[in-house]
Amino acid sequence: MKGETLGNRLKDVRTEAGLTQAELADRVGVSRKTINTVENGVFVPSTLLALKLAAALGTKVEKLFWVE
Amino acid sequence: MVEAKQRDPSLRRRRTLTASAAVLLMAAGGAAEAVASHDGQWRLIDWVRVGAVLFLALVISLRATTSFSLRARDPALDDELARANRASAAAFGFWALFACMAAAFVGSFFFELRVVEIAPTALVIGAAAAGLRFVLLERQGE
Repeated sequence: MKGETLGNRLKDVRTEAGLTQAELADRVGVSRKTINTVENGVFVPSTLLALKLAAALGTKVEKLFWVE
Repeated sequence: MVEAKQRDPSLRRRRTLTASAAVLLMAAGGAAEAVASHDGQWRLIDWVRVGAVLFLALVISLRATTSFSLRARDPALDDELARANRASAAAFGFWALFACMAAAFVGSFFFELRVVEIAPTALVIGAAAAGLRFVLLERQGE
């Protein structure tokens, strides 16, 4: 467990979907800052937010996040 | 990479908190002097000074560590990141207060200290620490 981090490819998937951070933030009901910190690995999202992000981007949560 | 600058709804909150914490720290010295210098014989102005400092400390604590608000706010100001930042700020403020009280306890072996003299300073330090910690965490997403 120690030293494990959450990897993500949220930015890539969001960009492929043609969405800005603000647009994705609006879709999942959070601030743009939250999206930015998740993309940069500063903030680890809750399960609920991870599922919402996956749904908003039309993908599975495992495609967005993984344990490193 | 951060996208083009957009209006950040939390900017006003961050600026207000920073300014409030600065005012609080500046006013705290005057309040501490008022408490210590009159040996229980407080004048009206002393009550006002100490009361104002404690009220400002309370406002900063509420704004930095809870979602309390008297009016409806933008829901984006109370999202998951903001709640996590508040929790971290509350913990930071607690440890600042703890350190201040521990220092006062040790100091009481060498000086005569009364609760009325220590409490305003400890509350100011705890509130200012929580407020400034929250502002710093909120800036991370810029």
